[in-house]
Amino acid sequence: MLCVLSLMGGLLPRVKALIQREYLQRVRNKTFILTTVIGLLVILGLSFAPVIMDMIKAADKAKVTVLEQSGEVTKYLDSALQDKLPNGEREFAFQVVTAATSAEWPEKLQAAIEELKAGKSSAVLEIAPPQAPGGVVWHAKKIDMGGASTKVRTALQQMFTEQRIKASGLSPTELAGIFTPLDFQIRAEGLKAKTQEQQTQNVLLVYFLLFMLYFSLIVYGMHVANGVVEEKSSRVMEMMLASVQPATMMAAKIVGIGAAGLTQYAIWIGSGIGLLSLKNQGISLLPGMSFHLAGLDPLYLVYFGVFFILGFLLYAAMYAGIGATVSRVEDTNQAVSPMTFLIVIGFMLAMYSLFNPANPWIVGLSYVPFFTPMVFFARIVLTPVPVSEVLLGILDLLVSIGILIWLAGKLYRFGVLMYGKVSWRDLVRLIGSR
Amino acid sequence: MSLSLNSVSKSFGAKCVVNNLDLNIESGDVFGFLGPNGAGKTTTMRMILDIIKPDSGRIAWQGQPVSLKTAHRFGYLPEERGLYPKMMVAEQLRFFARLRGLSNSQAKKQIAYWVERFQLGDLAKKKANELSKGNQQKVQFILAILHQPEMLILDEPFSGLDPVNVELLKEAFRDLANEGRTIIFSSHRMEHVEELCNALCIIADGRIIAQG
Repeated sequence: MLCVLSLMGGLLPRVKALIQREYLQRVRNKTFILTTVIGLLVILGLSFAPVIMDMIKAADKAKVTVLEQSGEVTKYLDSALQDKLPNGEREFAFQVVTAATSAEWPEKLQAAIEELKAGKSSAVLEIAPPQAPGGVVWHAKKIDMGGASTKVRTALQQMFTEQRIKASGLSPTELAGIFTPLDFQIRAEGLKAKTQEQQTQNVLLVYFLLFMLYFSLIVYGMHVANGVVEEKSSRVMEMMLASVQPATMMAAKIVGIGAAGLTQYAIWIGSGIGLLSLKNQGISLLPGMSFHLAGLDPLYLVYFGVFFILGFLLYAAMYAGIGATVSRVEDTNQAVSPMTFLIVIGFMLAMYSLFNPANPWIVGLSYVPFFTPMVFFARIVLTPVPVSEVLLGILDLLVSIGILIWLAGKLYRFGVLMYGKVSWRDLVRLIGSR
Repeated sequence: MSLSLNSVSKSFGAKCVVNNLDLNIESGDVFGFLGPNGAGKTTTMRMILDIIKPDSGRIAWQGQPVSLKTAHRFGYLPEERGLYPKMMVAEQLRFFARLRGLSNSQAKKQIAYWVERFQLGDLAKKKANELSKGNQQKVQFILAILHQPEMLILDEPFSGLDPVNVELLKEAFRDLANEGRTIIFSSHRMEHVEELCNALCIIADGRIIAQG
């Protein structure tokens, strides 16, 4: 016991020095500062996006000139299309031009089209023109998809259908009965979210956090591998070996870089939540969909933290072990490509699980440690997973991390003194040796 | 008898690098280790520092088998030496001082003394990769001796230095020897060994071929 304590006494300040160096070197790095600032700007941008989207949509005001014989259609459209823009103004403004006879028609149409071309109106609508009785022509400077023309078309369709049914002799009450929409409700069973909206919120949350996890596993994994290779290629490694063991160096490197990563995320997530609660409005990730703080279960953030840290440890150990077998900076990317590949597969699986979280394959694959951090997290948020299964997943991950750290430590111990190319056969031999 | 190696052997794969080596180095000795490239000098030094373990045989420092704990009392200048390329010299010195187990005040004193002695004052704020090779080597030498080790293990300490710096290093070397520290150093230059050491051995293919 005393011996262990005295050994620890010598070890702790050294480990502290190692971790501090790793941490400070990352945090002071220009790229690190730059990505942190860019991330903050993106978060700021996203949180103001709803306002900006509203401003963009407000420019979509449609001024429609309606050319018709009586003026009845304009009245109908005016009462049927009450859509409001986000700024409260009405989306549609109709201006009627009547042409009682077909002789007047071309002249009035010509005048209306000139106005359209001059930008005074955004569309000209011909109702039952002489050349196409019973038809409608929409003139605009652009062919819009699902915009104003579609809304007008739907309204007109409705009007004409009603007229045709009336002509067939049905009473207004019968008519209302025919048009009563079917009561169609969606209730999700076996999902955590009970409503569509909540499900959208959860999917958005998982999507966002998964992307962060994916991004940081690759970025910080590469940091670890590059850090090891830098120490090897600059030959500074052997200067340290008389003071600390390779396994200690590896552990300190992983902790230091992990701490730098957590610092970055603390800044991002902290400011994101801060902004959300300040504005009390949503963060918009996609136009039309926004993410609200109220829908956020704090437990999800805890799970995210757990899987973030465990996932990082798992992959960092692999990146460090493989990094230790590389001697030249140029070879790093190639050597770590299997891990990058695993992370990409994990991300794809997790993306798939967004839509099918209860798929038995997804459930099974979520226990494969390389995929657990991302896929299990998605499952937990989207489906009710019993606590025992969650603990099993975490335990599975912990055991795998233990094994991988042990393996990586071995590779590290031998790898750090090996310069030149290390083949797969060498790797197997190294792992097998004492 | 302070450092003893008893029938130490080490092979890498099929290649036997150190073969049944016996060596005794007395406290306070300046011991020269001579031999061609690939003779097993570096491997022997790494085994003394417990960086690699011998396949068979015993290595002991003052009666205790060598371990990381004994290695903390040694100073090591490896042949494959380097610095963190993007770190300031002053920062590297402070970092290594902590890694060698020095307290802040001790570190400050030692760093100030050696930076002054090796005329590195103007370079402290520079990054390591901006330094000439000779200056880098002086920094590396300081990193090996900052913690006033009982025994110094220097692998090819003079290679790649200009004559002025070789003299500077030799002077420091003699001072350290006069303070009673044990020094083991390897070289392939006979004149350095003759000039500096009071005991030596020549090894080739992992065996001692001459001693005295």
